[in-house]
Amino acid sequence: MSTPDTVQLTQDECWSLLEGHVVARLAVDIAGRPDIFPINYVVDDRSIVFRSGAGTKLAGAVLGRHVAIEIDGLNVDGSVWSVVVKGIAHEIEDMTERFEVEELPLYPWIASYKPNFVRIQPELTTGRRFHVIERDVPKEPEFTPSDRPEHHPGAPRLRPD
Amino acid sequence: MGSDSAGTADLTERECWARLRAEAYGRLAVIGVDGPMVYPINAIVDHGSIVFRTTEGKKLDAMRADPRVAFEVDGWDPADDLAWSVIVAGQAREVVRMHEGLDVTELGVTPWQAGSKPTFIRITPTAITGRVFQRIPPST
Repeated sequence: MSTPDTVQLTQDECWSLLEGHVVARLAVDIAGRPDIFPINYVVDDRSIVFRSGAGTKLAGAVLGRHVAIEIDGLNVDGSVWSVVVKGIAHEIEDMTERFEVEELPLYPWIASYKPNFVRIQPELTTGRRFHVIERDVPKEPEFTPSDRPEHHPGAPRLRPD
Repeated sequence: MGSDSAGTADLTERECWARLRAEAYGRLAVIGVDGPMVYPINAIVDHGSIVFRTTEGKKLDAMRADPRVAFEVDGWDPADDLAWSVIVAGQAREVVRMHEGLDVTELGVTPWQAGSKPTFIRITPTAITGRVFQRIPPST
């Protein structure tokens, strides 16, 4: 989806935004049905690492599967940005790799036991910036009835802009 | 609000709807041709459903292929350091009936993205869940 007001972010911009945040939303496919929830994550060498409980429904939906994480925010100029990382998630089992990720500043929001580390190896990282339009109301300060005979004040506008 | 041993508590359905009404900005998850996808959307609660505007694109294609979607809003209350999240699972469909179109144009759903957004989508919930949770401070 691209409009003239949408700016694609570079890979460097995407990863800089990812490195600057700690909470993302993880979308997964559970038996064909989408689910989404917030996670705490950290960027490690242009991959996404987060913690997960063992043997949960989530673990089954995530490990070895295609997932997507998304972060977004508001710029000072009122524009919105969004970065999405798509890739396959796998559990970090290698002992050396595991010791390395345990040093990462990763603090889950929820105090339940989350012994497993999961890494999303990105296949596609995309980002865009776009402007929020004002309220969806007619802007007709110069309205005169003769110019716009079809206009009825207060009537809903059905026609697309 | 139910309680739980691990620092989380479930929100009642009423509490979930109250938070959805207060926070229009959320993320939509759909299953696309190459896996799950997330889109930030500006939505609004209308008679127990979620309504938002969109335009032709991958998001709409995915919902036409499979109307099952998930919509999530979350936030953080700095006063008590509690984070919360509400997730709506539901069926998405395009608003096509003329009188329903009239109704939703009056809702004031503001899309995030400029440009023409002629299609209204209504998510009819099949399940709604919410929880609040204590954040764990970084260990020192």
